[in-house]
Amino acid sequence: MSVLKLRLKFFRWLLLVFPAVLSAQNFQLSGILPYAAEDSLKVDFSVQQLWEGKIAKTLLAGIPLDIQLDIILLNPDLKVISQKSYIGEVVYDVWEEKFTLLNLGIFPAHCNSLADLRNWFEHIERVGLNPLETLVPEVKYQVRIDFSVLLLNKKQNQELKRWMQSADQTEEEFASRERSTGFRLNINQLVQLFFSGDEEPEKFQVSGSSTPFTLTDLMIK
Amino acid sequence: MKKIRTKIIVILLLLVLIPLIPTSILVFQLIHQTYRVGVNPQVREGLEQGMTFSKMIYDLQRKELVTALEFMAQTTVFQESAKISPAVFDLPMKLDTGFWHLHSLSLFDGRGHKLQQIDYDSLGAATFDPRILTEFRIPERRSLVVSDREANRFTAVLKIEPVKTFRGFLVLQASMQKIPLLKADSLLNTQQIYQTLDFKRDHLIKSFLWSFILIFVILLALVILLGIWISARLTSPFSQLVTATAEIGKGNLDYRLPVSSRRDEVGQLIFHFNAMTRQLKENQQRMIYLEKMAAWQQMARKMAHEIKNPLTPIQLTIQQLVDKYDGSNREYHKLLQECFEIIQDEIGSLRRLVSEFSEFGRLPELQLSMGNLNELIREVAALYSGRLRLKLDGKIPVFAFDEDRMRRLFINLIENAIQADLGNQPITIETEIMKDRIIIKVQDRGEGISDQQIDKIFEPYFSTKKGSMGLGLAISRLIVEEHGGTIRVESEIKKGTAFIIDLPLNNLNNQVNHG
Repeated sequence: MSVLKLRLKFFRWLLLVFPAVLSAQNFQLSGILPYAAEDSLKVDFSVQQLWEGKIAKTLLAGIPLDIQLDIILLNPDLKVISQKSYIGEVVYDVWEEKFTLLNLGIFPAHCNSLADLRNWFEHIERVGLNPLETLVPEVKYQVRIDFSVLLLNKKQNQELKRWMQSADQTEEEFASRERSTGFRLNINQLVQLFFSGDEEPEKFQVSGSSTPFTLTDLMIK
Repeated sequence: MKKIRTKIIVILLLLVLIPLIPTSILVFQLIHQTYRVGVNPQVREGLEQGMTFSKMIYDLQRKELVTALEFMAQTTVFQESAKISPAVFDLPMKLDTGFWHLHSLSLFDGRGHKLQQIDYDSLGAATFDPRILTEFRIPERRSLVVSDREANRFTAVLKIEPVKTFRGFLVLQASMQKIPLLKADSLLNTQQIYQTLDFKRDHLIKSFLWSFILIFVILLALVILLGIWISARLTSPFSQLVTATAEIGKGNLDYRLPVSSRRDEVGQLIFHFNAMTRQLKENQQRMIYLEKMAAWQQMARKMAHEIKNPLTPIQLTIQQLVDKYDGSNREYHKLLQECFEIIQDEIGSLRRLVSEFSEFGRLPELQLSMGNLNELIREVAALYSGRLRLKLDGKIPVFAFDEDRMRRLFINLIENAIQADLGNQPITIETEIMKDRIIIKVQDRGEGISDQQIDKIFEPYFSTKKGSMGLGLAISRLIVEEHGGTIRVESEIKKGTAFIIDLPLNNLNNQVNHG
């Protein structure tokens, strides 16, 4: 085994032992555009390249994904003036080939294809933030958006646990059939003990900010 | 001793840790390999193909439902009745399909009003949401299937070709056979779990590794505890030995190691160490005693010499005084005779004293030769014509001893017993062989010896009897000690006294062989 291979193995081992999230996801937030409409501050933005890689793979396998969107209005000192959070779930019905977005008021309830879904997330428009009257005209504001996708939520983790437990039950049945006696370490429970401490779902997050603006700028536009 | 303990613990730890390094690598690779056996591209591909196939079957079944509906729409009965009036549409009867359970067939007008319904079973009355018909706003759409898989409720909707002025929809409600439905769901669930396992690969392997590390840490802790226990158990006797050796080095020959129940080498070491210190103590006491006795003997020799020399001139002078007197004064002559007799008696006493001193002071060197102890005892007993009762162990071998001294020893002890006797009670002499030792017991039924006297009876010139010089038992002990043995006394007032002699067989034989 070459030195390089050994180093690679060691590096992989380090990755396992020391928690680190390395993601191949490259989705981005862009086009964050605040504007005044219907007496309130609204924002358009685009989430690019979201439905690719691991995320798309998970969704297309019919595993629900949790989505969290935080739209934050900041003052010049970058202090939070207001924040709106949208939490929802995206589900793909493998049999009907339909995408459903649950609890996300700003998104469509159904999409018939992945292309539709992509399109929706690339053109998120008119998300209301603050009434205009709450803003001071000459103060420079900024909108920051945090968008995160939670892969394998708690429900799916529970499914995995049940799967592991069923493996254990099978083992117990096998053991009883074999009339196994004496000390038997329940490895499965031990593994689950550590696995439970790692229930935090895999999270992909991206943040973006608008250019600073004043209310006057928005009104002129 | 702490160093040895530390070394033992370190050795035990090394014994655990050294195999652990390759074991850890092996476990790490095994975990990966085991994971790869289950989660690998081939399994993924198989599951995906299974899902694709399952989905294909599912889609085909849905199409079959629409096909069935289309076929029903084209039946002669329906077509003919439709020509007369929409109000008298004659809906076709149930079709047999292998995969579907048909529940009902309904006719809706273009606005979604139900005109007719024929129920094929009791589930036919299930609700139908007319909003589905909005899907037909797209002109090209002719049919669709709406499904609620969880409820196993499938609805096929078909746009009817305009008949005269009537435009409407035929709606067929059905449910799928449950087993293929469940199997498909199960396959999907497995694929999802597989996907989760694939994504969670690192986390799960990490959990496996942590489990391994936890078990290892527990085992390591157990090994350390075991190491501490073993090292303490192994080194504790040595610590005691170090302390004991130091104590003996200081001259404390009474120091003994606690007797261990262990039967291993350590137990034997403790046993032999204690035996060695006991032997040292006995030897030391013997040496002290022999030195003391040598001093007494020297003094006895000197006293005998100093007393013996003037006795003869005194006796001759007194004799001359008596002989030279002519006897003129009768009274004086009588007094002289009386004084002469007294002086003669005292000189006689002094001569006996000198004789005993001389005998004690000039005990010859030990002359060991092979002999039969039982035989010697019988010879001595014969001198006392039936006063003695003998219980002699016939297994006592011929061994090396000084026959004259031994005879003297038995005579001393027998005389002592006779003097202590209260009334012609028999005196018992017993012999017994115990491994490499000979035990001799001389017992009387006499008045016994008090505890205060017992400690002193072997001292020279100590006697409770009138006219005794108190040398008999001292000489007896000297004889026993010179033979490398011990003598002790057990006594009970009014019940009797026993002198117990313990002679080492090998020691004496060795002395003869080496001599």
